[in-house]
Amino acid sequence: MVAAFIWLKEHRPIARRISIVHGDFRFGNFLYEGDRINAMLDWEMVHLGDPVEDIAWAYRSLWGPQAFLSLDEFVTRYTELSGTPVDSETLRFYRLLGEVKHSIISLTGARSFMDRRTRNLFLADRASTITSYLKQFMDWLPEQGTGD
Amino acid sequence: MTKPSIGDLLNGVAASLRESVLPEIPTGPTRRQIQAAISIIRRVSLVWDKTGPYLYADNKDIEEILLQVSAILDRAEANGSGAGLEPLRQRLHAALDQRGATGVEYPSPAVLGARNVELQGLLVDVQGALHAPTNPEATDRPESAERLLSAERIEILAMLRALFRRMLERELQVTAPPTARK
Repeated sequence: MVAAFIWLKEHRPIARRISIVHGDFRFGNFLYEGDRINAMLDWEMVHLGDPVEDIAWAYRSLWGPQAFLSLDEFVTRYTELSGTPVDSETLRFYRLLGEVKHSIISLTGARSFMDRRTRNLFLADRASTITSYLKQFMDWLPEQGTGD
Repeated sequence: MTKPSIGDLLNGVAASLRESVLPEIPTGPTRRQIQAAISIIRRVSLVWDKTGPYLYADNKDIEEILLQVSAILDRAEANGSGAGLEPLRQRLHAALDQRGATGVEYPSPAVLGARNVELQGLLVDVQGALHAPTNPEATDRPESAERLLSAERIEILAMLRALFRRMLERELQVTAPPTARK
């Protein structure tokens, strides 16, 4: 985890533009009617930042829609509609950040249970999930010497 | 086998709860808590018997890499490029001199776990030292001497990255059922 934080800190991209970032943008957090989203839910992680962060989070392997629309296809369509190209290195950074962010969320849940701030047993073993997230982080890291 | 292992015992408890207790509990918060508890007991049953060997292998791997890091730092110290890393070098030597000094022939998972936490703390220290900013106020030596020579730094970082991959893979082999792994 420390290595991941160091890498992220040393490779922070400069945002092409700053916008509202939902912070938990994914299936399950919006309502839709027909082919239009008409409500977004769960805004507790909202912040100002790079909109690429939301794209990366939406495409986490745990819940992403890649089975229906690949990330490449989504990015192409997003660029067409927004007029804002998505830098691939920036996207990779935010995908890496997403793995660490979800690890922290899981650890926080586990800590809440250990500290008796919640009795929800679904949070008790959340820490066991982060190994696969951090493995994903390592798998996506660029090789050293190629923008490491 | 003359008696069930802890893992077998926990697995049996989980199966019994799932088959004979859960069906009697109506849908609702209590049932969800029982389902979560069964899931945890089941997971622990799969991990329990492997914990000792896993920690033993993990500690051995980390110690081996830290020994190599220590040798690189010794080399850097000898050629004058390891300024500022002396405290880390001493910590590494002190910790690595303790290898195998548990006082018992077959250390328990608790002892191995404590050693694992100690070793992972050293990995944090190594990374902190490698990424420490140079001191802009130091004027008595060139900047390159304030930080480990880049070639040595890159060598250590590559070793650490490979180690982290092995540690995660090792943990996944113990904690994740084969069907859940990619």
